[in-house]
Amino acid sequence: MPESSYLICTESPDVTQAAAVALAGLHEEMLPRPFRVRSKRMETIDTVTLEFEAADGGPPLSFQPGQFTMLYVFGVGEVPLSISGDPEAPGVLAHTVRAVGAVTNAICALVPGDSIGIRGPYGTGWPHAQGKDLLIIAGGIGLAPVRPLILNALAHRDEYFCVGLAYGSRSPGELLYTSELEAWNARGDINVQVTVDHGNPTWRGDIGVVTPLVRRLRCETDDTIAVICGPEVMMRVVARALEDRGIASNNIYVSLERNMECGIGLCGHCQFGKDFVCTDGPVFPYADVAYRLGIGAQ
Amino acid sequence: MNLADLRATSDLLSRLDDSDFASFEEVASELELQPDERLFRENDEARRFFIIVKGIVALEVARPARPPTTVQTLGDGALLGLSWRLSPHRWMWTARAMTATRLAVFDAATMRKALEQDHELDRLMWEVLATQASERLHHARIQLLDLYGKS
Amino acid sequence: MGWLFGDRNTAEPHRYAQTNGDIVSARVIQGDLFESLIPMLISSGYRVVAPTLDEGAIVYDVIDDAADLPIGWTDEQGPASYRSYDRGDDVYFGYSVGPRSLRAFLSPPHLTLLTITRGDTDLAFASDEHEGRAYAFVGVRACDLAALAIQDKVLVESRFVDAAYTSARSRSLVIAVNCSVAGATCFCASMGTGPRCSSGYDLVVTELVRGDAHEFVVESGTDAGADILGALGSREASPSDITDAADVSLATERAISTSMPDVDTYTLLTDNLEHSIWEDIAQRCLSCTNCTLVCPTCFCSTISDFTDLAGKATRTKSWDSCFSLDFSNLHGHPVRTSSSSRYRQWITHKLAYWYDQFGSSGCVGCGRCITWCPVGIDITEEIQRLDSEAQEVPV
Repeated sequence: MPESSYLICTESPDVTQAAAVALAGLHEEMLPRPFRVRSKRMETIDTVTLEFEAADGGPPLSFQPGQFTMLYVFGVGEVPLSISGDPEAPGVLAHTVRAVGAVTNAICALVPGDSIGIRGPYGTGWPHAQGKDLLIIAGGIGLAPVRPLILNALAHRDEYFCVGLAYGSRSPGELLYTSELEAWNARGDINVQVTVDHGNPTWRGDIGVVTPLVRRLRCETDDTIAVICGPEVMMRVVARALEDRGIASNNIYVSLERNMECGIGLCGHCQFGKDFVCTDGPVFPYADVAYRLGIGAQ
Repeated sequence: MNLADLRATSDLLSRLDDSDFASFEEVASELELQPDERLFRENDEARRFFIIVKGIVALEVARPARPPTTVQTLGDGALLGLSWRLSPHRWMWTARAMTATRLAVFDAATMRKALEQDHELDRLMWEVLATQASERLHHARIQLLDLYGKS
Repeated sequence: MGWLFGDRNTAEPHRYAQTNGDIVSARVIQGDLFESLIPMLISSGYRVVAPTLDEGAIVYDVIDDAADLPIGWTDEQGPASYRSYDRGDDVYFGYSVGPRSLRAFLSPPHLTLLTITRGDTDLAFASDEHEGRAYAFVGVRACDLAALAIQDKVLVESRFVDAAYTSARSRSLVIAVNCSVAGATCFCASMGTGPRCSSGYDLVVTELVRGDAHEFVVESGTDAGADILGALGSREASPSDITDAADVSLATERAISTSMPDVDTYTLLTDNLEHSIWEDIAQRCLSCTNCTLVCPTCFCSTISDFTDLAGKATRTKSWDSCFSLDFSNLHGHPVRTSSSSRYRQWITHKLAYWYDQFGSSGCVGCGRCITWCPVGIDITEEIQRLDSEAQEVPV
């Protein structure tokens, strides 16, 4: 019997079982909660880090590093944004936002006390790398989605072997979390490498793409997890560099971006081949997406 | 100069057999640069090449009415210098230490003479230099995309 | 009359039985079946959705009585062509599927999700209620039953559940019809979904016209269906009734002239993502979105907020299409800028990635996308062409 008939005979009974779950589903998954801006810090000329707290007296928004939420500004709209805060302090929900469109401009213009709607968290998180080496390679605003992973790894540093961070940005003025980067570097137990595409007269660090920095990140074990977050082209180039130094492509993870509207895999906008980026991703094993990334317009 | 610590991280040294590696150690000398100290200048004759032991070296270009602009930096373990092997042996960029930097220095004329005698080593050297050139071209192209700019 | 077979507005949702297409036990009802059935359903609280004539096409819509059915009408379909006409008899179901599918009712084109109010200090979000009268879908064809099962898989059994769909779907009643005519764009047989209904219905009827005798062979697929059948005057079907009913489906199947090529569409499509055929199709494709709007399994939607000046906003969900340019917008620029990439997206989703995501094809062979494509692009022909071209030039 053709495959589709199999579905026809098995699906319908389950409809009824799922029905009870369904109505609650809308409330919990698609209904934003009111949040208030607690603090705001300018990161760069166009990027801010905002901390939010729930305004409905409800529970904190627990999340896995790598997940995202949908942020809604009244009268402007809603956008998906990766969470950039500490997963062990979810009472304060942090987002680092770059003003690029109407909604992100409105979010960057918020001030403490302002009200906003947040739903989520959605999507897959970064892999667990406890007991392994953890290499993190970030580009541009891509440092924000890996910050929760870095904070978590540093809070439990003894659970990992080598931990390294390579971070590339456009210019020194566009680096995120600069004081934090210095503090991490000063700890001595995380190898922090930073490079910029264009230096300035006071910049004393590396200039160039992030790829060569990958070689400076040490590994102690054969079991290394590498996570990459940044523009798609940068992630592909870095992934190849990681493969060249012997890290298996299924131990390399990337975070992808596509148009996300519903956040729960029902609206179709973020489809990328066989996956919905909002539910099957945004974090994918590189091995799973490498071929697709090389084909345009997908 | 003892290069043992560099052997694992250097693309060149890691590919040498023990006897060639020993020869390289024999001819290498050590150089220390202070921050901002110039190593070589564009258009000068390329009489040496280097492997960075520790530190950051910038390849820069002088421009009128503004400070020199760095196009790339090279860090620990990097091979610094391609022009010594390519006629007319003239540096294309100015090299300047950005931090306190320690270098292993090789004399170009000595090395070229040695490579003329040893074709196997010469082939290996060409391969390392071509890889370097290819990587730098690749990186320059990636930078042309201005990936971190607003799309 | 609600006591008779339960009121779906309050009753427990029911389960559908599977009959494997074999006629197990059937009843025969006279030709005026729908004259009694439809008022019965309406008086039990259902909104009855059935085929009816609307602007020259036979479409599913809410009807008030059996007179709204397109009795004696038929249609003639082909790529980019549809014509309905009165064929001058009193046959109830002498036509194939029209442009509207049941998702117009279960996932309406526009649906309010929630209301947002700006208070003095904070925003307030309130979910919209989706409860309404239950639907009785009458005259549902095998392809549309298959489409319902697929939509269930997508909207009910995924990680997240479409609450509005699930609520409407679980309370709906399905009275199916075995097709007695095959449209020129129908290809259900090759997709394994029809023309005979095999499951997913409460009742299924086969219309039998034998000389002057006009009767319906009726089978129930659920207890609810059996209850309805029991409330209608019927006689037991004789072996010849059952044979004749089966022959209707066999004759219809033989009359189907379009078929999806018997190839592994998953491998064919995913191996040829950069084939020149996509550019060739794009020369004809208008990116008009018609195929996605008539498709009974397409489910893409867009979320829009409408804000008034008094501090209130409404969030709605509307049908969207992967053929729209801004559908794939990323930072203000579409990912799929070309028609070729959008057509490829649609067909690879339907015939390839749907298997990964939902375990089956996303196509049921209803042929709507062929009929309603303004330039007559035929999904089965394009697969055939890709298959032959891909073999000629290995990629």
